[in-house]
Amino acid sequence: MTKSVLRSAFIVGTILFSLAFLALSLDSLAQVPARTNESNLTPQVAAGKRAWQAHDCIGCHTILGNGAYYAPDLTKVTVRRTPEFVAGWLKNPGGQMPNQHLTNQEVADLVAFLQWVAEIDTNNWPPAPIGVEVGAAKPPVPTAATPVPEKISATGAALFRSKGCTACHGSSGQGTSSAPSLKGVTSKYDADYLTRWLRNPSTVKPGTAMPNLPLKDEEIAALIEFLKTVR
Amino acid sequence: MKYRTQRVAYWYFAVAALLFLLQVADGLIIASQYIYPDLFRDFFPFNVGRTWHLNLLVLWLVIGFMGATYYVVPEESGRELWSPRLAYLQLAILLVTGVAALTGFVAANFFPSLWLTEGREYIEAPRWADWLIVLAVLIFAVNNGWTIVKRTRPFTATVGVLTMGMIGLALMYLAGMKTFSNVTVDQFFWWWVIHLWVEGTWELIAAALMAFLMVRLTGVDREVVEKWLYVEVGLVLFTGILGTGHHYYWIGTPSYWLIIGGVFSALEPIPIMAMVVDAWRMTRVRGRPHPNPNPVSFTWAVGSVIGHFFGAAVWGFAHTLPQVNKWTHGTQVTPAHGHFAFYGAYAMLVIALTYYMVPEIKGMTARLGRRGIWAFWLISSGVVGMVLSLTIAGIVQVYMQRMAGLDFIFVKTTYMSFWFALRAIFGGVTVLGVLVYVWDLVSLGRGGREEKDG
Repeated sequence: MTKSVLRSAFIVGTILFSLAFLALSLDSLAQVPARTNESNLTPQVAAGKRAWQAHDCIGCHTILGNGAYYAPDLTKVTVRRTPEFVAGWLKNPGGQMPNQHLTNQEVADLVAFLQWVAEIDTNNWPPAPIGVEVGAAKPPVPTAATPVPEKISATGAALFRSKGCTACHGSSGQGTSSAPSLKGVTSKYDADYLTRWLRNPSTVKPGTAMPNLPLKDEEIAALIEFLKTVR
Repeated sequence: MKYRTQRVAYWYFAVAALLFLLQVADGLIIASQYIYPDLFRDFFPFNVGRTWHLNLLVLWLVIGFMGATYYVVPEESGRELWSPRLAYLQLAILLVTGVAALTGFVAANFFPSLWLTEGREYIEAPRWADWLIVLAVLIFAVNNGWTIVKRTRPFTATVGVLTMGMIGLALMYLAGMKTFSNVTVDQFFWWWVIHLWVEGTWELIAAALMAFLMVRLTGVDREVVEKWLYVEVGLVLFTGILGTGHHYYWIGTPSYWLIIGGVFSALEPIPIMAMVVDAWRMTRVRGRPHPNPNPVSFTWAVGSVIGHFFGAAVWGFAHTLPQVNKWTHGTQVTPAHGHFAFYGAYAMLVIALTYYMVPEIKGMTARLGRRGIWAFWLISSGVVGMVLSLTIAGIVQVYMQRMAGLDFIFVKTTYMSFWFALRAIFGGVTVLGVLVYVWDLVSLGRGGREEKDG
């Protein structure tokens, strides 16, 4: 083939593939409003996205799987945790996240934004895990020394995972580089102290990395029962 | 060097090399923050360092491409550049804008504002910086465009493909200047910039510059090289344009992208394989006498072909199919591919061009020293080490976080930290190599002056 034939093939092919891409793009953009529930995209959600950008959240986190991979993906965070948890965390973040000193308005906007993002039809991404829960807390074994009300403790074990305690304290409370081990924590501190701690950690120890989790009194009691089994 | 005005390329390469050094030094900081999250947390937190890392990458590579273009266009057009003065002005605008934008990213940490950062990775530069960049690119287009129009020789395929790539690069940047409240639409057009740069228009620029370099280094017949050039860039665009679909699997776009993106991105390695075959064939004819026996530039150019193949084709294909990408999307597998592909396809090529063009500009006839080869092995082993560490970290993350359902932070701090530490060590090797490279360029500049007198 001569150079001019190849050049023509290159130019014609490029134009054709570009046109195909543009046509598909137009069709995709026409489908996006329905797939993203654009009718729920309120001015507050838009304000939340601007706050998301101004604070460069994507410089650490990912959203829809795109971003910096340094901190968790936030596509479904309001489902994985709860909107209340996310709001509390944003006001007083724990672990490795620096405090962004957000106003109450910004927190509310960001939560609205994340709640709207969680509803986007992502072709079922991220997929649900398929494996067994590796290292999940073993069912509590009552012993003579510590009679355990089994049901409450099991609730506590479930809360330990759903409230995100595992993120820093490890899957069975063994501790990580972000937070200490919880082995024997109930013999080190009494229930009264632990209750005050879980209700609001920073009143017990100002400046602690542990976030204030919105916990109900019975949830605190269940968590303490569970902690007795961690050893 | 045939025309005096090709000299402007020297300052472009010098600035590019310094920005490259800054990029990898910054990379070492953020790699360390993976292990010590409190490092510089108050005044230079991870997000700022990462924004620097990405923006410096784009800036130094584009400045390198532009410098090479200022060298290629006069030579291929058979006349001096229209205005060297404008070329220097353009470089100054890019440099000042770049420094201002980087300073703004640090300030945004204290005063969060969309005037300081747009908070969209790679294109965080705020609107005012966008317009200054557009101005610089317009100067670049006019300067080279007018030189090409006033040429004394027939229009070559090399210049044609290079021009098309540069125009494409500029047009795609415009797609990222507007933001949308709908995050899906936002990311949809964001990929027009990122994907259609690195797997589209940048490939055109790189292929044209590689063709220019190969003709000079191996003495291979230009007709053959340029025929292949059309085949390669054709296949790049035929697969790469619809290959954008591999970014539309999970962001809220219709599910037909799973098929279109999957099929076309599975074909994306084909043009890269063609480039490997092409380069292999060209290097076989090295027996002939050729004008510039430049083993250092040649080493980097061959390295670029190989790095492009492994980084873009192999590491890219490894996680591009939707069945795999479902699990790997948003994990450390992506930066493993990103580091390898950017280094192989673009960084090594710009360095190869620098090592060919700077000695030509400096009028050095003597063979280059061994330092450039040292830099090659140091930087390459550093990058490959980082890529392998990140790949393993990514596989650990896929199994433990995605498949087994363990918490992100728990997996990151407990099971991935060893691989992050290893990555930081290899990052140190990379920085060392870039220091050798910059040192070599500085001494090349000095040596040139002495030799010209003699």
